[in-house]
Amino acid sequence: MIRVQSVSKWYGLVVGVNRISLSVEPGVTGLLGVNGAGKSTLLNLMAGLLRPSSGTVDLDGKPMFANPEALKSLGYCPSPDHFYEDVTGLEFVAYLGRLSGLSPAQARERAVEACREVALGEEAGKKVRAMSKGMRQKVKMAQALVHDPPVLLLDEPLNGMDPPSRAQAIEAIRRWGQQGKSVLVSSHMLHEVEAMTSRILLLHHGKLLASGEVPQVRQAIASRPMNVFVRCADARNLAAALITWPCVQSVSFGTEGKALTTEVTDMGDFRVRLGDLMADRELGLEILNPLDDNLSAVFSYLVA
Amino acid sequence: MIEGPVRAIFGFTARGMTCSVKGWLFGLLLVLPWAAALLLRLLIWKGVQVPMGGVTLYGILVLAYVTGFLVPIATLFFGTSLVADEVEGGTLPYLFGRPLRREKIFLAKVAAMTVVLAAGCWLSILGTYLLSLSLDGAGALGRGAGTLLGDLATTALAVAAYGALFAFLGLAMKKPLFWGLIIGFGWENLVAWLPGFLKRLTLLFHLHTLLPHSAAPQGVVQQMLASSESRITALAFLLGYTALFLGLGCVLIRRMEASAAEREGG
Repeated sequence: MIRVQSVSKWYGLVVGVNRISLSVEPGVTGLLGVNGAGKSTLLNLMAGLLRPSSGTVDLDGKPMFANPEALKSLGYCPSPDHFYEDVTGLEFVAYLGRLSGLSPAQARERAVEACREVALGEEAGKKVRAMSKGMRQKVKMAQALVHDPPVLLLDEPLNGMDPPSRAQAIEAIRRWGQQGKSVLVSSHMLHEVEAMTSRILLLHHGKLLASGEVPQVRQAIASRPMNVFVRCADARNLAAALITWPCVQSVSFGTEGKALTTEVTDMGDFRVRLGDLMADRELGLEILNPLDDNLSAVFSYLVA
Repeated sequence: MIEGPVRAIFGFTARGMTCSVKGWLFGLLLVLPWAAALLLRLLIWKGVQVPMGGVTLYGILVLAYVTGFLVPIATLFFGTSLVADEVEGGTLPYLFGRPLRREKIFLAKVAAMTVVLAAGCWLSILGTYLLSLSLDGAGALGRGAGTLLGDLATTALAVAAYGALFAFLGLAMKKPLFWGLIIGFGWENLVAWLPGFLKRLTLLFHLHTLLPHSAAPQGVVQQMLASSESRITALAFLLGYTALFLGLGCVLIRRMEASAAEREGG
Protein backbone atom coordinates (compact mmCIF):
# COMPACT_ATOMS: atom_id res chain seq x y z
CA MET A 1 0.00 0.00 0.00
CA ILE A 2 1.25 3.45 -0.88
CA ARG A 3 1.00 5.88 2.01
CA VAL A 4 1.37 9.65 2.05
CA GLN A 5 1.88 11.15 5.50
CA SER A 6 1.57 14.87 6.09
CA VAL A 7 3.35 15.65 2.84
CA SER A 8 4.01 19.18 1.64
CA LYS A 9 5.86 20.33 -1.42
CA TRP A 10 6.92 23.92 -1.97
CA TYR A 11 8.48 25.42 -5.05
CA GLY A 12 10.09 28.44 -3.45
CA LEU A 13 7.17 30.42 -2.09
CA VAL A 14 4.61 28.52 -4.11
CA VAL A 15 2.86 25.65 -2.38
CA GLY A 16 2.42 22.60 -4.60
CA VAL A 17 0.68 20.40 -2.04
CA ASN A 18 0.06 21.19 1.58
CA ARG A 19 0.14 18.65 4.44
CA ILE A 20 -1.61 15.85 2.62
CA SER A 21 -2.14 12.46 4.21
CA LEU A 22 -3.76 9.59 2.36
CA SER A 23 -3.32 5.97 1.41
CA VAL A 24 -4.20 4.19 -1.79
CA GLU A 25 -5.77 0.79 -1.35
CA PRO A 26 -6.56 -1.95 -3.87
CA GLY A 27 -9.16 -0.91 -6.40
CA VAL A 28 -9.57 2.30 -8.33
CA THR A 29 -9.38 5.66 -6.59
CA GLY A 30 -10.06 8.90 -8.39
CA LEU A 31 -7.94 11.96 -7.70
CA LEU A 32 -10.03 14.97 -8.55
CA GLY A 33 -9.15 18.59 -8.81
CA VAL A 34 -9.21 21.51 -11.15
CA ASN A 35 -6.10 22.41 -13.16
CA GLY A 36 -3.40 23.60 -10.78
CA ALA A 37 -4.95 21.88 -7.77
CA GLY A 38 -1.73 19.91 -7.18
CA LYS A 39 -2.73 16.55 -8.65
CA SER A 40 0.38 16.11 -10.76
CA THR A 41 2.64 17.28 -7.95
CA LEU A 42 1.05 14.76 -5.60
CA LEU A 43 1.41 11.96 -8.17
CA ASN A 44 5.03 12.93 -8.83
CA LEU A 45 5.69 12.75 -5.10
CA MET A 46 4.02 9.36 -4.94
CA ALA A 47 6.01 8.16 -7.96
CA GLY A 48 9.28 9.04 -6.23
CA LEU A 49 10.13 11.74 -8.76
CA LEU A 50 9.88 14.63 -6.32
CA ARG A 51 11.30 14.80 -2.84
CA PRO A 52 8.73 15.99 -0.26
CA SER A 53 9.58 19.30 1.41
CA SER A 54 8.14 17.75 4.54
CA GLY A 55 6.35 14.52 5.40
CA THR A 56 6.89 11.04 3.95
CA VAL A 57 5.72 8.96 1.01
CA ASP A 58 6.28 5.22 1.24
CA LEU A 59 5.19 2.03 -0.40
CA ASP A 60 4.91 -0.89 2.02
CA GLY A 61 7.21 1.00 4.37
CA LYS A 62 9.85 1.79 1.74
CA PRO A 63 10.42 5.50 1.03
CA MET A 64 9.57 6.35 -2.56
CA PHE A 65 12.04 9.03 -3.59
CA ALA A 66 14.69 7.57 -5.91
CA ASN A 67 14.29 4.15 -4.29
CA PRO A 68 14.51 1.23 -6.77
CA GLU A 69 13.13 -1.21 -4.20
CA ALA A 70 9.89 0.76 -3.89
CA LEU A 71 9.71 1.62 -7.60
CA LYS A 72 9.60 -2.10 -8.49
CA SER A 73 5.97 -2.16 -7.40
CA LEU A 74 4.93 1.02 -9.16
CA GLY A 75 3.78 1.95 -12.63
CA TYR A 76 3.50 5.64 -13.42
CA CYS A 77 1.81 7.26 -16.38
CA PRO A 78 2.78 10.95 -16.53
CA SER A 79 0.39 13.57 -17.81
CA PRO A 80 2.52 15.55 -20.28
CA ASP A 81 2.68 14.31 -23.86
CA HIS A 82 6.40 13.56 -23.91
CA PHE A 83 8.06 10.60 -25.61
CA TYR A 84 11.10 9.32 -27.40
CA GLU A 85 9.57 10.14 -30.75
CA ASP A 86 11.74 8.10 -33.11
CA VAL A 87 10.82 4.67 -31.81
CA THR A 88 7.66 2.64 -32.29
CA GLY A 89 5.11 2.40 -29.51
CA LEU A 90 6.10 -1.21 -28.95
CA GLU A 91 9.81 -0.37 -28.77
CA PHE A 92 9.08 2.44 -26.33
CA VAL A 93 7.12 0.17 -24.02
CA ALA A 94 9.64 -2.69 -24.35
CA TYR A 95 12.56 -0.34 -23.61
CA LEU A 96 10.94 0.85 -20.40
CA GLY A 97 10.10 -2.76 -19.60
CA ARG A 98 13.79 -3.58 -19.83
CA LEU A 99 14.55 -0.74 -17.43
CA SER A 100 12.17 -2.43 -15.03
CA GLY A 101 14.37 -5.49 -15.07
CA LEU A 102 12.70 -7.61 -17.74
CA SER A 103 14.90 -9.58 -20.13
CA PRO A 104 14.76 -8.50 -23.81
CA ALA A 105 12.43 -11.39 -24.68
CA GLN A 106 10.20 -10.80 -21.63
CA ALA A 107 10.10 -7.09 -22.35
CA ARG A 108 8.96 -7.66 -25.94
CA GLU A 109 6.34 -10.17 -24.82
CA ARG A 110 5.06 -7.98 -22.01
CA ALA A 111 5.07 -4.90 -24.26
CA VAL A 112 2.77 -6.69 -26.72
CA GLU A 113 0.53 -7.75 -23.84
CA ALA A 114 0.43 -4.28 -22.28
CA CYS A 115 -0.38 -2.67 -25.64
CA ARG A 116 -3.20 -5.20 -26.04
CA GLU A 117 -4.46 -4.39 -22.52
CA VAL A 118 -4.92 -0.75 -23.49
CA ALA A 119 -6.43 -1.67 -26.88
CA LEU A 120 -3.57 -0.18 -28.87
CA GLY A 121 -3.79 -2.91 -31.50
CA GLU A 122 -1.81 -2.61 -34.71
CA GLU A 123 -1.04 1.04 -33.97
CA ALA A 124 1.62 -0.11 -31.49
CA GLY A 125 3.96 -0.79 -34.41
CA LYS A 126 3.82 2.83 -35.60
CA LYS A 127 6.50 5.40 -34.78
CA VAL A 128 5.37 7.41 -31.76
CA ARG A 129 5.73 10.69 -33.66
CA ALA A 130 3.17 9.45 -36.19
CA MET A 131 0.56 8.56 -33.57
CA SER A 132 -2.55 10.51 -32.65
CA LYS A 133 -2.84 12.02 -29.16
CA GLY A 134 -5.18 9.26 -28.06
CA MET A 135 -2.80 6.55 -29.21
CA ARG A 136 0.08 8.25 -27.48
CA GLN A 137 -1.95 8.29 -24.26
CA LYS A 138 -2.43 4.54 -24.61
CA VAL A 139 1.32 4.05 -25.12
CA LYS A 140 1.92 5.93 -21.87
CA MET A 141 -0.56 3.71 -20.08
CA ALA A 142 1.03 0.59 -21.56
CA GLN A 143 4.52 1.58 -20.35
CA ALA A 144 3.16 1.98 -16.82
CA LEU A 145 1.71 -1.51 -17.03
CA VAL A 146 4.53 -3.34 -18.79
CA HIS A 147 6.17 -4.80 -15.67
CA ASP A 148 2.81 -5.70 -14.12
CA PRO A 149 3.12 -3.53 -10.99
CA PRO A 150 0.59 -3.82 -8.16
CA VAL A 151 0.33 -0.01 -7.87
CA LEU A 152 -0.57 2.22 -10.81
CA LEU A 153 -0.50 6.01 -10.78
CA LEU A 154 -2.20 7.44 -13.86
CA ASP A 155 -2.05 11.18 -14.35
CA GLU A 156 -4.92 12.36 -16.56
CA PRO A 157 -4.72 9.23 -18.72
CA LEU A 158 -7.84 9.96 -20.76
CA ASN A 159 -6.72 13.36 -22.06
CA GLY A 160 -7.00 13.62 -25.82
CA MET A 161 -8.75 10.29 -26.33
CA ASP A 162 -11.76 10.00 -28.59
CA PRO A 163 -14.97 8.58 -27.03
CA PRO A 164 -14.40 4.94 -28.05
CA SER A 165 -10.80 5.00 -26.81
CA ARG A 166 -11.96 6.70 -23.64
CA ALA A 167 -14.49 3.93 -23.03
CA GLN A 168 -11.82 1.27 -23.65
CA ALA A 169 -9.42 2.99 -21.28
CA ILE A 170 -12.06 3.34 -18.58
CA GLU A 171 -12.92 -0.34 -18.97
CA ALA A 172 -9.23 -1.27 -18.69
CA ILE A 173 -8.74 0.85 -15.55
CA ARG A 174 -11.79 -0.71 -13.92
CA ARG A 175 -10.49 -4.16 -14.82
CA TRP A 176 -7.09 -3.47 -13.20
CA GLY A 177 -8.89 -2.33 -10.09
CA GLN A 178 -10.96 -5.52 -10.03
CA GLN A 179 -7.77 -7.55 -10.47
CA GLY A 180 -6.58 -6.14 -7.14
CA LYS A 181 -4.20 -3.46 -8.33
CA SER A 182 -4.17 -0.18 -6.44
CA VAL A 183 -4.96 2.35 -9.15
CA LEU A 184 -4.93 6.08 -8.53
CA VAL A 185 -6.29 8.03 -11.50
CA SER A 186 -6.21 11.79 -11.64
CA SER A 187 -8.61 13.87 -13.64
CA HIS A 188 -10.34 17.21 -13.67
CA MET A 189 -13.28 15.68 -15.54
CA LEU A 190 -15.82 14.55 -12.98
CA HIS A 191 -17.78 12.25 -15.22
CA GLU A 192 -14.59 10.38 -16.19
CA VAL A 193 -13.77 9.51 -12.61
CA GLU A 194 -17.37 8.72 -11.85
CA ALA A 195 -17.33 6.18 -14.67
CA MET A 196 -14.37 4.41 -13.11
CA THR A 197 -14.99 4.51 -9.40
CA SER A 198 -17.01 5.96 -6.58
CA ARG A 199 -13.94 6.25 -4.35
CA ILE A 200 -12.44 9.70 -4.64
CA LEU A 201 -9.87 12.11 -3.28
CA LEU A 202 -10.66 15.76 -3.81
CA LEU A 203 -7.75 18.14 -4.10
CA HIS A 204 -7.99 21.90 -4.18
CA HIS A 205 -5.26 24.52 -3.90
CA GLY A 206 -2.82 21.81 -2.86
CA LYS A 207 -5.00 20.59 0.00
CA LEU A 208 -6.92 17.37 0.33
CA LEU A 209 -10.46 18.60 0.62
CA ALA A 210 -12.23 15.29 1.08
CA SER A 211 -11.81 11.57 0.55
CA GLY A 212 -14.03 8.51 0.53
CA GLU A 213 -17.01 7.16 -1.41
CA VAL A 214 -18.99 9.84 -3.21
CA PRO A 215 -22.13 9.46 -1.05
CA GLN A 216 -19.99 9.44 2.12
CA VAL A 217 -18.24 12.58 1.04
CA ARG A 218 -21.56 14.12 0.30
CA GLN A 219 -22.81 13.11 3.74
CA ALA A 220 -19.80 14.79 5.30
CA ILE A 221 -20.96 18.14 4.06
CA ALA A 222 -23.43 18.34 6.86
CA SER A 223 -23.91 22.06 6.75
CA ARG A 224 -25.13 22.05 3.17
CA PRO A 225 -28.63 20.86 2.32
CA MET A 226 -29.09 18.15 -0.27
CA ASN A 227 -31.60 18.52 -3.06
CA VAL A 228 -33.96 15.57 -3.30
CA PHE A 229 -36.34 15.07 -6.18
CA VAL A 230 -39.64 13.36 -5.28
CA ARG A 231 -42.44 12.34 -7.59
CA CYS A 232 -45.66 10.96 -6.17
CA ALA A 233 -49.38 10.78 -6.94
CA ASP A 234 -50.34 13.11 -4.05
CA ALA A 235 -47.55 15.67 -4.10
CA ARG A 236 -49.54 18.42 -2.36
CA ASN A 237 -50.17 16.29 0.76
CA LEU A 238 -46.55 15.14 0.77
CA ALA A 239 -45.36 18.76 0.61
CA ALA A 240 -47.63 19.65 3.50
CA ALA A 241 -46.00 16.94 5.63
CA LEU A 242 -42.45 17.69 4.52
CA ILE A 243 -42.65 21.35 5.40
CA THR A 244 -43.22 20.48 9.07
CA TRP A 245 -40.08 18.32 9.37
CA PRO A 246 -37.00 19.92 10.95
CA CYS A 247 -34.69 18.18 8.48
CA VAL A 248 -36.40 19.88 5.53
CA GLN A 249 -35.37 23.41 4.68
CA SER A 250 -37.61 24.12 1.70
CA VAL A 251 -39.99 22.53 -0.75
CA SER A 252 -40.60 23.63 -4.32
CA PHE A 253 -42.98 22.26 -6.92
CA GLY A 254 -41.93 21.41 -10.43
CA THR A 255 -43.85 22.30 -13.57
CA GLU A 256 -45.94 19.17 -13.33
CA GLY A 257 -47.97 18.93 -10.20
CA LYS A 258 -46.75 15.48 -9.20
CA ALA A 259 -43.07 16.40 -8.77
CA LEU A 260 -41.33 18.42 -6.12
CA THR A 261 -37.78 19.20 -5.03
CA THR A 262 -36.91 19.54 -1.41
CA GLU A 263 -33.79 20.81 0.35
CA VAL A 264 -32.83 18.33 3.07
CA THR A 265 -30.33 19.10 5.84
CA ASP A 266 -30.22 15.60 7.38
CA MET A 267 -30.64 12.84 4.84
CA GLY A 268 -30.77 10.06 7.45
CA ASP A 269 -33.59 11.68 9.40
CA PHE A 270 -35.39 12.45 6.12
CA ARG A 271 -35.33 8.81 5.00
CA VAL A 272 -36.68 7.58 8.36
CA ARG A 273 -39.51 10.13 8.42
CA LEU A 274 -40.39 9.50 4.78
CA GLY A 275 -40.52 5.75 5.43
CA ASP A 276 -42.88 6.29 8.35
CA LEU A 277 -45.05 8.64 6.30
CA MET A 278 -45.34 6.18 3.45
CA ALA A 279 -46.36 3.47 5.90
CA ASP A 280 -49.10 5.74 7.37
CA ARG A 281 -50.51 7.27 4.20
CA GLU A 282 -51.08 6.21 0.62
CA LEU A 283 -49.22 8.99 -1.21
CA GLY A 284 -48.24 6.96 -4.26
CA LEU A 285 -44.46 7.55 -4.16
CA GLU A 286 -42.96 6.92 -7.61
CA ILE A 287 -39.45 8.41 -7.58
CA LEU A 288 -37.10 9.47 -4.79
CA ASN A 289 -33.85 10.77 -6.26
CA PRO A 290 -31.10 12.61 -4.33
CA LEU A 291 -29.95 15.10 -6.97
CA ASP A 292 -26.67 15.97 -5.32
CA ASP A 293 -25.39 12.46 -4.84
CA ASN A 294 -23.08 12.72 -7.80
CA LEU A 295 -19.51 13.88 -8.09
CA SER A 296 -20.29 17.08 -9.87
CA ALA A 297 -22.43 18.37 -7.06
CA VAL A 298 -20.01 17.26 -4.38
CA PHE A 299 -17.16 18.92 -6.16
CA SER A 300 -18.89 22.20 -6.73
CA TYR A 301 -20.04 22.30 -3.09
CA LEU A 302 -16.58 21.60 -1.79
CA VAL A 303 -14.71 24.12 -3.87
CA ALA A 304 -17.35 26.80 -3.70
CA MET B 1 28.30 -8.80 -15.42
CA ILE B 2 26.50 -5.67 -16.58
CA GLU B 3 22.83 -5.53 -15.63
CA GLY B 4 20.15 -5.73 -18.33
CA PRO B 5 18.67 -2.27 -17.65
CA VAL B 6 22.13 -0.70 -17.85
CA ARG B 7 22.77 -2.45 -21.17
CA ALA B 8 19.39 -1.23 -22.40
CA ILE B 9 20.20 2.40 -21.56
CA PHE B 10 23.64 2.04 -23.08
CA GLY B 11 22.19 0.70 -26.35
CA PHE B 12 19.35 3.21 -26.47
CA THR B 13 21.69 6.15 -25.84
CA ALA B 14 24.23 4.96 -28.41
CA ARG B 15 21.48 4.45 -30.98
CA GLY B 16 20.05 7.89 -30.23
CA MET B 17 23.47 9.48 -30.68
CA THR B 18 24.22 7.85 -34.00
CA CYS B 19 20.77 8.47 -35.45
CA SER B 20 20.56 12.15 -34.52
CA VAL B 21 21.40 15.32 -36.43
CA LYS B 22 24.21 15.86 -33.94
CA GLY B 23 25.46 12.38 -34.81
CA TRP B 24 25.58 13.20 -38.51
CA LEU B 25 27.42 16.47 -37.84
CA PHE B 26 29.91 14.58 -35.69
CA GLY B 27 30.36 12.17 -38.59
CA LEU B 28 31.19 15.08 -40.87
CA LEU B 29 33.72 16.45 -38.40
CA LEU B 30 35.36 13.02 -38.24
CA VAL B 31 36.20 12.95 -41.90
CA LEU B 32 37.59 16.49 -42.11
CA PRO B 33 41.18 15.34 -41.30
CA TRP B 34 40.84 12.80 -44.08
CA ALA B 35 39.97 15.62 -46.44
CA ALA B 36 43.03 17.58 -45.25
CA ALA B 37 45.31 14.59 -45.83
CA LEU B 38 43.79 13.99 -49.25
CA LEU B 39 44.29 17.65 -50.12
CA LEU B 40 47.95 17.42 -49.15
CA ARG B 41 48.32 14.35 -51.35
CA LEU B 42 46.66 16.18 -54.21
CA LEU B 43 49.00 19.17 -53.83
CA ILE B 44 52.07 16.93 -53.79
CA TRP B 45 50.77 15.03 -56.82
CA LYS B 46 50.29 18.33 -58.66
CA GLY B 47 53.92 19.21 -57.88
CA VAL B 48 53.14 21.98 -55.40
CA GLN B 49 55.86 22.51 -52.78
CA VAL B 50 54.31 21.89 -49.36
CA PRO B 51 56.17 22.76 -46.14
CA MET B 52 55.31 19.50 -44.33
CA GLY B 53 55.38 15.77 -44.76
CA GLY B 54 52.86 13.12 -43.76
CA VAL B 55 54.14 12.71 -40.19
CA THR B 56 53.93 16.44 -39.55
CA LEU B 57 50.45 16.69 -40.99
CA TYR B 58 49.29 13.74 -38.90
CA GLY B 59 50.80 15.31 -35.79
CA ILE B 60 49.04 18.61 -36.41
CA LEU B 61 45.71 16.96 -37.11
CA VAL B 62 45.78 14.78 -34.00
CA LEU B 63 47.16 17.39 -31.64
CA ALA B 64 45.37 20.48 -32.86
CA TYR B 65 42.24 19.12 -34.47
CA VAL B 66 41.30 15.84 -32.75
CA THR B 67 42.36 16.50 -29.17
CA GLY B 68 42.22 20.29 -29.37
CA PHE B 69 38.89 20.66 -31.12
CA LEU B 70 37.01 17.51 -32.11
CA VAL B 71 37.03 15.78 -28.72
CA PRO B 72 36.10 18.88 -26.68
CA ILE B 73 33.39 20.01 -29.10
CA ALA B 74 31.85 16.54 -29.51
CA THR B 75 31.87 15.76 -25.80
CA LEU B 76 30.56 19.25 -25.07
CA PHE B 77 27.50 18.83 -27.27
CA PHE B 78 26.80 15.20 -26.45
CA GLY B 79 27.86 15.29 -22.80
CA THR B 80 25.91 18.34 -21.70
CA SER B 81 22.78 16.99 -23.37
CA LEU B 82 22.91 13.46 -21.92
CA VAL B 83 20.51 14.29 -19.11
CA ALA B 84 19.53 17.81 -20.18
CA ASP B 85 17.81 16.44 -23.30
CA GLU B 86 15.75 14.10 -21.13
CA VAL B 87 14.77 17.05 -18.95
CA GLU B 88 13.98 19.24 -21.96
CA GLY B 89 12.10 16.47 -23.72
CA GLY B 90 10.14 15.59 -20.59
CA THR B 91 11.24 11.95 -20.73
CA LEU B 92 13.17 11.93 -17.47
CA PRO B 93 10.17 10.71 -15.41
CA TYR B 94 10.13 7.55 -17.53
CA LEU B 95 13.70 6.80 -16.48
CA PHE B 96 13.48 7.95 -12.87
CA GLY B 97 10.22 6.08 -12.39
CA ARG B 98 11.93 2.75 -13.04
CA PRO B 99 13.46 0.48 -10.39
CA LEU B 100 17.01 1.37 -11.30
CA ARG B 101 19.59 3.34 -9.36
CA ARG B 102 19.90 6.76 -10.91
CA GLU B 103 23.68 6.61 -10.75
CA LYS B 104 23.52 3.65 -13.11
CA ILE B 105 21.36 5.60 -15.54
CA PHE B 106 23.95 8.39 -15.57
CA LEU B 107 26.95 6.11 -15.86
CA ALA B 108 25.34 4.00 -18.60
CA LYS B 109 24.66 7.14 -20.63
CA VAL B 110 28.20 8.46 -20.12
CA ALA B 111 29.64 5.06 -21.06
CA ALA B 112 27.57 4.97 -24.26
CA MET B 113 28.70 8.45 -25.20
CA THR B 114 32.33 7.63 -24.48
CA VAL B 115 32.27 4.46 -26.56
CA VAL B 116 30.53 6.08 -29.54
CA LEU B 117 32.71 9.20 -29.55
CA ALA B 118 35.95 7.29 -28.92
CA ALA B 119 35.08 4.88 -31.74
CA GLY B 120 34.40 7.82 -34.04
CA CYS B 121 37.65 9.56 -33.07
CA TRP B 122 39.60 6.35 -33.55
CA LEU B 123 38.15 5.99 -37.01
CA SER B 124 39.14 9.54 -37.79
CA ILE B 125 42.68 9.06 -36.44
CA LEU B 126 43.18 5.73 -38.23
CA GLY B 127 42.04 7.17 -41.55
CA THR B 128 44.22 10.23 -41.07
CA TYR B 129 47.17 8.05 -40.14
CA LEU B 130 46.82 5.91 -43.24
CA LEU B 131 46.28 8.84 -45.59
CA SER B 132 49.01 11.02 -44.07
CA LEU B 133 51.85 8.66 -43.30
CA SER B 134 51.56 6.78 -46.57
CA LEU B 135 52.83 10.01 -48.13
CA ASP B 136 56.20 9.22 -46.59
CA GLY B 137 56.24 5.66 -47.91
CA ALA B 138 54.93 2.33 -46.66
CA GLY B 139 57.74 2.06 -44.11
CA ALA B 140 56.49 5.16 -42.32
CA LEU B 141 53.24 3.41 -41.51
CA GLY B 142 55.07 0.67 -39.62
CA ARG B 143 57.43 3.08 -37.89
CA GLY B 144 54.60 5.21 -36.61
CA ALA B 145 52.55 2.35 -35.19
CA GLY B 146 53.65 3.07 -31.64
CA THR B 147 52.66 6.70 -31.99
CA LEU B 148 49.34 5.67 -33.42
CA LEU B 149 48.57 3.38 -30.50
CA GLY B 150 49.54 6.10 -28.06
CA ASP B 151 47.31 8.58 -29.86
CA LEU B 152 44.38 6.16 -29.82
CA ALA B 153 44.77 5.52 -26.10
CA THR B 154 45.16 9.21 -25.29
CA THR B 155 42.14 10.12 -27.41
CA ALA B 156 40.01 7.55 -25.63
CA LEU B 157 41.16 8.99 -22.33
CA ALA B 158 40.41 12.51 -23.59
CA VAL B 159 36.89 11.48 -24.57
CA ALA B 160 36.36 9.89 -21.16
CA ALA B 161 37.70 12.91 -19.25
CA TYR B 162 35.95 15.61 -21.30
CA GLY B 163 32.82 13.46 -21.48
CA ALA B 164 32.72 13.16 -17.69
CA LEU B 165 33.33 16.91 -17.29
CA PHE B 166 30.57 17.95 -19.66
CA ALA B 167 28.13 15.30 -18.47
CA PHE B 168 28.63 16.70 -14.96
CA LEU B 169 28.11 20.26 -16.23
CA GLY B 170 24.93 19.08 -17.94
CA LEU B 171 23.61 18.11 -14.51
CA ALA B 172 25.05 20.96 -12.48
CA MET B 173 24.38 24.02 -14.63
CA LYS B 174 21.24 25.66 -15.91
CA LYS B 175 22.94 26.64 -19.18
CA PRO B 176 25.43 23.79 -19.56
CA LEU B 177 26.31 24.50 -23.18
CA PHE B 178 27.31 28.07 -22.39
CA TRP B 179 29.40 27.08 -19.38
CA GLY B 180 30.80 24.15 -21.33
CA LEU B 181 32.02 26.50 -24.06
CA ILE B 182 33.56 28.80 -21.47
CA ILE B 183 35.34 25.94 -19.73
CA GLY B 184 36.12 23.78 -22.76
CA PHE B 185 37.43 26.48 -25.04
CA GLY B 186 38.17 29.35 -22.68
CA TRP B 187 39.61 28.01 -19.47
CA GLU B 188 41.16 24.92 -21.06
CA ASN B 189 42.96 26.79 -23.81
CA LEU B 190 44.04 29.78 -21.76
CA VAL B 191 45.07 28.23 -18.48
CA ALA B 192 46.88 25.25 -20.02
CA TRP B 193 49.55 27.70 -21.18
CA LEU B 194 50.11 29.44 -17.89
CA PRO B 195 53.17 28.66 -15.81
CA GLY B 196 52.82 27.25 -12.32
CA PHE B 197 50.32 24.83 -10.88
CA LEU B 198 47.14 26.29 -12.36
CA LYS B 199 47.60 24.54 -15.70
CA ARG B 200 47.24 21.22 -13.91
CA LEU B 201 43.62 22.17 -13.40
CA THR B 202 43.02 21.70 -17.11
CA LEU B 203 42.55 18.46 -18.98
CA LEU B 204 44.39 19.72 -22.04
CA PHE B 205 47.70 20.10 -20.23
CA HIS B 206 47.71 16.48 -19.09
CA LEU B 207 46.50 15.21 -22.45
CA HIS B 208 49.32 16.95 -24.26
CA THR B 209 51.75 15.35 -21.86
CA LEU B 210 50.43 11.96 -22.87
CA LEU B 211 50.34 12.45 -26.63
CA PRO B 212 53.35 10.49 -27.91
CA HIS B 213 54.28 12.23 -31.13
CA SER B 214 56.09 15.50 -31.27
CA ALA B 215 56.22 16.85 -34.78
CA ALA B 216 58.37 19.90 -35.38
CA PRO B 217 55.76 22.72 -35.33
CA GLN B 218 54.28 21.42 -32.13
CA GLY B 219 57.56 20.70 -30.43
CA VAL B 220 57.71 24.01 -28.62
CA VAL B 221 54.07 23.80 -27.69
CA GLN B 222 54.47 20.32 -26.33
CA GLN B 223 57.59 21.28 -24.47
CA MET B 224 55.82 24.18 -22.82
CA LEU B 225 52.85 22.08 -21.94
CA ALA B 226 54.32 18.78 -21.02
CA SER B 227 57.82 19.19 -19.82
CA SER B 228 56.89 19.74 -16.20
CA GLU B 229 55.18 16.44 -15.44
CA SER B 230 55.60 12.77 -16.11
CA ARG B 231 53.17 10.68 -18.11
CA ILE B 232 52.25 8.71 -15.02
CA THR B 233 51.31 11.93 -13.25
CA ALA B 234 49.32 13.09 -16.27
CA LEU B 235 47.50 9.76 -16.41
CA ALA B 236 46.77 9.93 -12.67
CA PHE B 237 45.42 13.46 -13.00
CA LEU B 238 43.19 12.56 -15.94
CA LEU B 239 41.82 9.44 -14.27
CA GLY B 240 41.34 11.39 -11.07
CA TYR B 241 39.44 14.17 -12.84
CA THR B 242 37.29 11.66 -14.70
CA ALA B 243 36.44 9.85 -11.47
CA LEU B 244 35.76 13.17 -9.72
CA PHE B 245 33.35 14.44 -12.39
CA LEU B 246 31.57 11.09 -12.59
CA GLY B 247 31.30 10.95 -8.81
CA LEU B 248 29.89 14.46 -8.62
CA GLY B 249 27.47 13.63 -11.44
CA CYS B 250 26.30 10.59 -9.49
CA VAL B 251 25.71 12.70 -6.38
CA LEU B 252 23.72 15.26 -8.35
CA ILE B 253 21.55 12.77 -10.21
CA ARG B 254 20.82 10.94 -6.96
CA ARG B 255 19.36 14.14 -5.51
CA MET B 256 17.72 15.37 -8.70
CA GLU B 257 13.98 15.81 -8.96
CA ALA B 258 12.15 14.97 -12.16
CA SER B 259 8.78 16.48 -12.64
CA ALA B 260 6.97 17.56 -15.74
CA ALA B 261 4.29 19.06 -13.51
CA GLU B 262 6.34 22.15 -12.74
CA ARG B 263 6.76 22.92 -16.40
CA GLU B 264 3.16 22.30 -17.28
CA GLY B 265 1.50 23.86 -14.30
CA GLY B 266 -0.39 20.72 -13.29
